[in-house]
Amino acid sequence: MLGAVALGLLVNEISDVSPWMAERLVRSAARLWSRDPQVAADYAEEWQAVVDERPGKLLKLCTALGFLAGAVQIRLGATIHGRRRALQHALRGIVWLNWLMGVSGTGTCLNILGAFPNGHLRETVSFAVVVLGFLVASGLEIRLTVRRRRAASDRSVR
Amino acid sequence: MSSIERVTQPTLDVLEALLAADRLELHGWAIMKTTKRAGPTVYKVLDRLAEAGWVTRSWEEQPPDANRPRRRLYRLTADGCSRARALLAQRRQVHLGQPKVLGTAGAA
Repeated sequence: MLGAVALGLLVNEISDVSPWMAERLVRSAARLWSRDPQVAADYAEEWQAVVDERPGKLLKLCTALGFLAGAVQIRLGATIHGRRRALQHALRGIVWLNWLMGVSGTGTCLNILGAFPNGHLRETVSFAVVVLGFLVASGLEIRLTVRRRRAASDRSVR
Repeated sequence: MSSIERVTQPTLDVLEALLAADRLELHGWAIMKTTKRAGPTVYKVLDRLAEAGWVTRSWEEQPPDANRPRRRLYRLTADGCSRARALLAQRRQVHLGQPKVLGTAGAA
């Protein structure tokens, strides 16, 4: 009996508070959606109008929660996407650095070991190593680009 | 005016709703009702379309009730309209001339 009364009071209280809560949620969602304060303010007003169109206090709250969930998803997605891009750039940097170090390192080692009896052979080998390294690094770069484009095209609806 | 990067099912739904409005302005809630899509999904698409210059946004001039927040209205541009028709014809192969029952049109 007491539990039923308490539950009734709780539901009533939540129902009364939900429009205020919905407004706060919509504002938070708009701030997450855009970092630009003016854009966020515009969205907050626009979404508040959408929330107001919904019948019932709890449905209004659910709509506001939906906007918040979408905004959180967008913000998280942007962060993950940004980190993935940074990782790709770092990998490319490592590949190219590796190539440069490989070229100079190979030349130096061959020089130290006295592998070049004459200057003409040294120039030919150095040139071949440079070309080979460039081809390998370019191949990796092309492969990364193709994979990225293929992934983007898979995400789109055919 | 540029092309849109990703053409998803919600994008096609929103374009269809805007086309069916026949150059009338629609507000977000009307588009959500017509497409039966969630708010964030619809607004993501509208953001992309606005960035690409396919739709224009404007605030309603006089809110029906002064205490209510303003609604923002969306309309396809002339170029956006022709591009949307071409895209829908290509992706969905539907007759776009058919009338469709919509939610509340913003301008109405």
